[in-house]
Amino acid sequence: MRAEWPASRLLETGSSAPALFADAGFRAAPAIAFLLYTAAVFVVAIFSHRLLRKRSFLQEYFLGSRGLGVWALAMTYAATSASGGSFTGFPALIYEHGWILALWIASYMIVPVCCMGILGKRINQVARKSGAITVPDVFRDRFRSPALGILASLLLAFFMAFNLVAQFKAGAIIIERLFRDLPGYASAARLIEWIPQTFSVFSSSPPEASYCLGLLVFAGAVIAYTAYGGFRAVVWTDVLQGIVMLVGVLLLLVFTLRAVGGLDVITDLEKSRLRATVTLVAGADFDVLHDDLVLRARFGDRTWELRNERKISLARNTSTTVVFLFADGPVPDPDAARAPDSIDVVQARDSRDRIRVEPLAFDPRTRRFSARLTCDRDLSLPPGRLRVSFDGVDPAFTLTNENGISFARSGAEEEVLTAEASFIATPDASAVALPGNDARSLVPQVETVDALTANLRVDSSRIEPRHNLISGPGLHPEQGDGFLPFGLAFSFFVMWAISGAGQPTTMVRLMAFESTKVYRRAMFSVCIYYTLIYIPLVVIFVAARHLLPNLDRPDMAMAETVLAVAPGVLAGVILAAPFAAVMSTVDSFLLAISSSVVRDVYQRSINPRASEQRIRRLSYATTLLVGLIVMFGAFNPPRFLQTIIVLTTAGLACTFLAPMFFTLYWKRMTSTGCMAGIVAGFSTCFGLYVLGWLGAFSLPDDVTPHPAGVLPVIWGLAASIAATIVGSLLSRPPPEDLVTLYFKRAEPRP
Amino acid sequence: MTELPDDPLYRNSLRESLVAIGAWAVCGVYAITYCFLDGYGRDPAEITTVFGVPRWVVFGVFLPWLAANVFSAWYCFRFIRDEDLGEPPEAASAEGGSDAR
Repeated sequence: MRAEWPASRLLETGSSAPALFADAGFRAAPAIAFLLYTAAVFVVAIFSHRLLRKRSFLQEYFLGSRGLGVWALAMTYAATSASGGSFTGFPALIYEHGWILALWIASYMIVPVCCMGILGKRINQVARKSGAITVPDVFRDRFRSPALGILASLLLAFFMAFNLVAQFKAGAIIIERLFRDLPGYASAARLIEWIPQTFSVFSSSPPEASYCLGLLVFAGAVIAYTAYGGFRAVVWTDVLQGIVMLVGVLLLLVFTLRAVGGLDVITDLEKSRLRATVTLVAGADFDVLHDDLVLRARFGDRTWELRNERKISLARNTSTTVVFLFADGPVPDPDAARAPDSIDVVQARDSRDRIRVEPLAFDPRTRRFSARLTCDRDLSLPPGRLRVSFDGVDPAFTLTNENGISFARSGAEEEVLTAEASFIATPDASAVALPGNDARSLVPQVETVDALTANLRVDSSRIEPRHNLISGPGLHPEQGDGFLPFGLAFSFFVMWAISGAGQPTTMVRLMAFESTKVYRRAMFSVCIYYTLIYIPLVVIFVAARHLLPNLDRPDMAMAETVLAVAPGVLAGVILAAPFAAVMSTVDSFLLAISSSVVRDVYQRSINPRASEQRIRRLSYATTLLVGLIVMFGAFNPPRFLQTIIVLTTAGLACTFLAPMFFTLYWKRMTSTGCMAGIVAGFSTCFGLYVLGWLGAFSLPDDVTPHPAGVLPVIWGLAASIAATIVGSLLSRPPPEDLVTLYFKRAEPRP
Repeated sequence: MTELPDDPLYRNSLRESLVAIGAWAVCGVYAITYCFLDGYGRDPAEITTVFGVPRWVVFGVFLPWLAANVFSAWYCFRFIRDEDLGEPPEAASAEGGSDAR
């Protein structure tokens, strides 16, 4: 098959995707695609800015004059909700856990109906009645409560700023990955080395200059077009981005299925794949990367090689249980393979072992070689465990240590340990002629340091099908009940469909459509759009697991798969999809924060009579300033970024969904009830995440808490609903004129 | 004093909203239950496939997804009513919302 060539080549050489670009001579393709795409985005921003000059500034800048048509509403809605996570985190999860992600994402079958249908028509009407431009505006006007408006603005800005830091980082990484091998990128990165140096004052792990350059490029582009063009530029670029995402995914589906030979092939292969769960006892500290620990399982006269799927760290005299995969692929007779005669460690390479070899003498006649070795840590090597080759020697030969080598520490931790060793060379070495018989002219390369085999033994093992990739609940290395147990499956069904309706960026789009006809048609368009995006994504990355089975970083599954299966120019087009997804989310969030500050805090609370000119300048400046502040935060982003994205999504839903629903549909709702719902939803969700950070309800390496087996969004929504109802019932009924304004027909029936 | 009747758009929106929530509940109960019964904890040898996709994914997710699209078409083109959304008060939005009125 044509497309197998680059995939297998990636695996053979271990080369990175950009390196493959360089080899194939089409590394400029993504750059060209990106530049064309960015140019198109700026053209859109310029047209939007022209419209902005002709219309009421606030209505146009923050709400597009409530004039969104079908495609604009559908695409801006779909593109904004599909953030970078849809093209980085989601593919990575499919790659790691298999078909169970179909259930994880299943609620998207009904997401458009829920997210648009629950609030859509009514929030648009209420916003028109009150003249509201932002979500806090709606709360403020519906209850005539400035305090409610300010509280909503502050919480909205709080969550979105956190989310934006994570999104900016995702955008910066994509640019860095696409461009870092192009001529000039490294030179440009060197010009800004002062940035990571500055951050090294505050942080022990400052960012790399190439990441900082990616961040500057990404942030510069998004901040500029968002600030300049406003809401309409964001919406139009969302349309562009939505089309790019759809075309990218459909092209990738075709290329991937062609490359693997169809889904029948991969599912049948998957059924016959096995995994071994092995408990190892260590006699030394070790730190082994993915694939660097090799076991051999013997079944009668046949042997199979097993390799570790994940990085392993273990202290001396402790044991650990590790999942190994059968490196040779599917097992022809899975039943027989489940009961091996023995499993032994045949190779273990510690990632920290860096042995330097200084040649002392070499005699080609006897093939004996002596060298002085240096190493940074305690290490004991039995005979035959250190192999060395040489650069530029003809004929090529390899050395193996004859005797045991021991690096023993005598004192300080920083001490460099030395040892002398003798080696025996492979037969080709007898034909080597050294200049002046001087062994010091040799340039040694340490090929293998196999120090740990003697220090590791298999204590117990269990071989079973890797059913987690084709059946539920899916593999989770730390979670005994799997990746998606029943409680989490329910949580995610609520999370995507119901909490999606509670996102202020969704609500503000529902305030901007032109008519109910537009709204109905756009809703159905989004249903079809999600079907064409998410089902193919599941299929693509189940297949990608078979094309690229050993990715060290699953979050690069999208980029690596594209580069493996798609031809050059189309690879560039497809790779624009994740970039478009990040951009379309970032621009919307940026505008939501700036509208909170300008409209809700400044204009409505500080200076209601501010001139349009003043508001205009303040809006540009605020969008710019918020973008710069977030960019500054993204130079050194906090850990647990994916968790922060989930936290902010859940937090916004817990804070705003129930209060907004009752605001629109319950006549008895009061400002006290609304305030109680906002505060209860926010504090429950945020409080549970804080407890998660402190170690409660969560798992090692995962700060997301799961109290009672469900996500915090469930508890937050429940608390918010309860507090809204109780708070309203315990407070005085709302003024009659407000109820009449928002719930009654304007004229009495004759 | 004659009490004013409810705004029809409010009543229709509430009805449409409750139907959307009901549709979500039906989809959720069906998808999670079916996948749990047919796809969880199974030996791969027992899992049958349809065009290479595990049966529990086809009948638990993909086909319901298509059915949800059919429902969405009915919901969007038959169930939701077209109504006049009204016009925003120009002065309110330009001069700081309804506070300024």
